[in-house]
Amino acid sequence: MDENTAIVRARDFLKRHGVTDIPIDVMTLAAAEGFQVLHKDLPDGESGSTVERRGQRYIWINANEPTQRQRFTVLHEIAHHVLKLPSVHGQAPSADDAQLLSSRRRPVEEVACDAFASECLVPYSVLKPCIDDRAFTVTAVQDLSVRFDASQHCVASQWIKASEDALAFVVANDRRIQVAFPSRTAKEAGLRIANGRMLPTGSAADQLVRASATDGPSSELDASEWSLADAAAHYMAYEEATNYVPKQRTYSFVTFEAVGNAPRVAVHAARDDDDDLLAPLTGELSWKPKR
Amino acid sequence: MELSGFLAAMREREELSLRGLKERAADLDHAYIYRLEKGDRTSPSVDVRQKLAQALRLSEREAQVLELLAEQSVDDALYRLMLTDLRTPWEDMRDAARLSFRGERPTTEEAWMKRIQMIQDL
Repeated sequence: MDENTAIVRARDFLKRHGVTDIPIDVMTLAAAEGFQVLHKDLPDGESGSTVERRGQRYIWINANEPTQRQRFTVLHEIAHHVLKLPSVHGQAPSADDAQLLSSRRRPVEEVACDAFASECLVPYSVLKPCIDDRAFTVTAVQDLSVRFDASQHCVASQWIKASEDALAFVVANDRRIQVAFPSRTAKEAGLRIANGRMLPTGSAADQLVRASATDGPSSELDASEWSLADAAAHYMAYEEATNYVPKQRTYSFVTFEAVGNAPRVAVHAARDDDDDLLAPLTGELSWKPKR
Repeated sequence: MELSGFLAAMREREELSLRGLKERAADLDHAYIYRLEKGDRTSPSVDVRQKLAQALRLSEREAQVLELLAEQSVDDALYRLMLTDLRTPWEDMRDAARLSFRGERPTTEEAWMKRIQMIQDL
């Protein structure tokens, strides 16, 4: 199952349960699907698990993790059930495999369940009006994170999917880029950011790590500092960032702005595995978000 | 542990060649057994599983493990527990094997025993 199918199924799922308010009530959804959610003291790194015992389904959630992550985990586990995508049993991945799985090469079942959970927590139809004409900044992401009760990572990823601007959300660990999510417009403009590279020197995220600071000044660099693609020569990259100091993990919120005569974007010119995005929606709310 | 590895290990324990196993399970094609051991074939029928259990002289617990492995693979540490800890009811072991995880998962016998305890507490 691809991500788009999972997203469509998530929208159907919310509709079927008559979900009309944000933040989404994940516990009610779990109960409606026949799950009993139990918060447990699980080991570090284990977000949760699902077990069926004598006909009753249980979701164990790691009570030590942030509540927003717990909410995501509940929906991820529900997704396995709703999408009928069983987890892979057996041996845990080796250290090398885990390295691979930490990037985009995760099992397709897990990627689909994450997409389902993200769409449930931050539904497109509610998010889209919130981001139209709004800059992709730390403050904006933090604000939406509170409103949706979803992690900044989840909000930023959904923002990237919904936006029509040239944006990128970049996650780096200890200044090395772990994964970069370009928006559709950024991809179509050829503005790709390679995983595994070091953050640009002088970028906001780079400065935060060097100063062991949580937040700080923004940066404005030539886009070519971020992307080696030829197209980057025609753009500037405005960036704001946050840093989770204990792990030196940074989130960069990057906006690309054309400088001078940037080549016209060739719509649908370049395709890759991430390009099968959903058909544009009307953006009309099917319900009123809770204020 | 996969079904293929389990069958190979049990046949080795019995010091049987493929042909020797075929002699104990007359209806089974030794080429089919070979493919099961290589993992080229999975999910043998109930009839085949019963014949294999008989031919390999599996204990009750080992036969239960065979049934489970015909459905899914099992973490090695949990597999060892299944075969050595006969005091823990099979139902608890089976439910533990069917756990699905987000993030890390148990990889030691001690960690699995904690998880089985949690299942028993439900």
